[in-house]
Amino acid sequence: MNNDPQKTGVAAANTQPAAAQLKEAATNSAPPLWQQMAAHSTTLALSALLCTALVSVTYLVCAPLIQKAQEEQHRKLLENVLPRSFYNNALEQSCLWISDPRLSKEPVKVYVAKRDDEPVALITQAVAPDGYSGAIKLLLAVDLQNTLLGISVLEHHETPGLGDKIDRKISKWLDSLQGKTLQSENDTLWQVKKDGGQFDQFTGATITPRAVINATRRAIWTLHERQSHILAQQTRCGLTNSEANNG
Amino acid sequence: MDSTLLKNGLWHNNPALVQLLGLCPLLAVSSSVSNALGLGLATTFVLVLSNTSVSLARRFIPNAIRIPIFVMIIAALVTCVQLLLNAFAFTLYQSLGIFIALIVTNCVIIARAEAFASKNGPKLAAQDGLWMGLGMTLALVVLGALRELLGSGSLFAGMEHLLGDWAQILKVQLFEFNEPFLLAILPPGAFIAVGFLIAAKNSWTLRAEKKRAQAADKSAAPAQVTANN
Repeated sequence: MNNDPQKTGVAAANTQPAAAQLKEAATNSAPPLWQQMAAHSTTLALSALLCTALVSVTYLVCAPLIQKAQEEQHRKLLENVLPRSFYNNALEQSCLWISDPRLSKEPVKVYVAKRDDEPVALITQAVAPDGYSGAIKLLLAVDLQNTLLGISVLEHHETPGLGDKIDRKISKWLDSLQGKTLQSENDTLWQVKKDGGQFDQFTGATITPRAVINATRRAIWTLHERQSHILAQQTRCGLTNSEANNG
Repeated sequence: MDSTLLKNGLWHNNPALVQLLGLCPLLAVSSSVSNALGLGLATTFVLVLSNTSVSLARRFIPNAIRIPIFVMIIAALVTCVQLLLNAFAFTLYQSLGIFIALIVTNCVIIARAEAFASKNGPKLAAQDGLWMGLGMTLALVVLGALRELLGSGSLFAGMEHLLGDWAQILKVQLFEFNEPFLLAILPPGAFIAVGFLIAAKNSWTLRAEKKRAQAADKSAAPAQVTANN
């Protein structure tokens, strides 16, 4: 009795291509090299064309859905730092670009949240360049009296198990910043406890929370200093030119 | 269903523990069970697709240029899977996104295309892809469980990013550390753990073989065994 059906199955399946290969080798010895090269290049080009076509079709089908999902995602991010109940304007279209090294090396988008046309809060991106392994990207919402309404981490590369507690998926540490007010540019309370402030550091990781807190403090103060300038600008930034043309 | 393909994929020829393929993603994302499971399932999915399509196309592929064609097929498939996930399962894409790009670097896929799918029919090839993928998943999950347990004392943390919010209840905190055991969490720990896993598998296999040999000896010449002892 044969107790290894798989091997025989493979062997049976193998014989045919092997024979075909032999035959191919026999016929292949006849045509000159350039003909083989031409045949192979044609096959390669054809399969490249097929693969590209497959990817292109998939992309065309998916692209609008992906864009929708990303916009949805963006809306959710904004909602995470500032609940909808705080404002009633079209937040995504009420923003302007600001470049300030205290926020980030790149220009960042600052959103103005309004309730009945009265500005109530600002949302900005901020980058902490001094994380333990690279920059930490933050999104934060601040009211006009320098109180942090909401904050979340958009991107970080901190050590798993140590510094990644700044991530809401991992721990609730970020909540301890919310609701706190910055009194002055160098408010000593806006530090980790180790440096004499009010916020917990993590066991075995002080650099990460220190970087986040410093970046948050800088961002709040920058928004405070530029508040009148930001509020004075009438903005409509939700659509870039190309998107506006498409829509 | 072919039980030999199953046994080969899951145990005798396990891609991670015996063929030692795909170590880069294996070490990069096996820091927790949920990550390991995510990468494992995504790899399995791509492996079944790529094995099937390579097998279907095998008669049209000239031997001399098969490798570049396999690479194109695999790259196109992975890109499509990434796009489709991004469009139709955005939350899943967010937790698996980085893994999917990593699948391209997983040599298990091209190895199975070359070693199996290019020589067998689509049915066998798809099964081989399935079991090889699940074998990889199994090794990944065991490794992830080891590292998560040693590193942070928990199991199944973060499963909700993979399976939805209900999976939060799956998390088990077995013990707490004052300081997490960093070595287990960082990639060097993964290397060491994978070494131990391979050693454990090898010693198991050796013992099983010895037992079988002894049993064969006994039935053939029982007198000689006692003499040797």
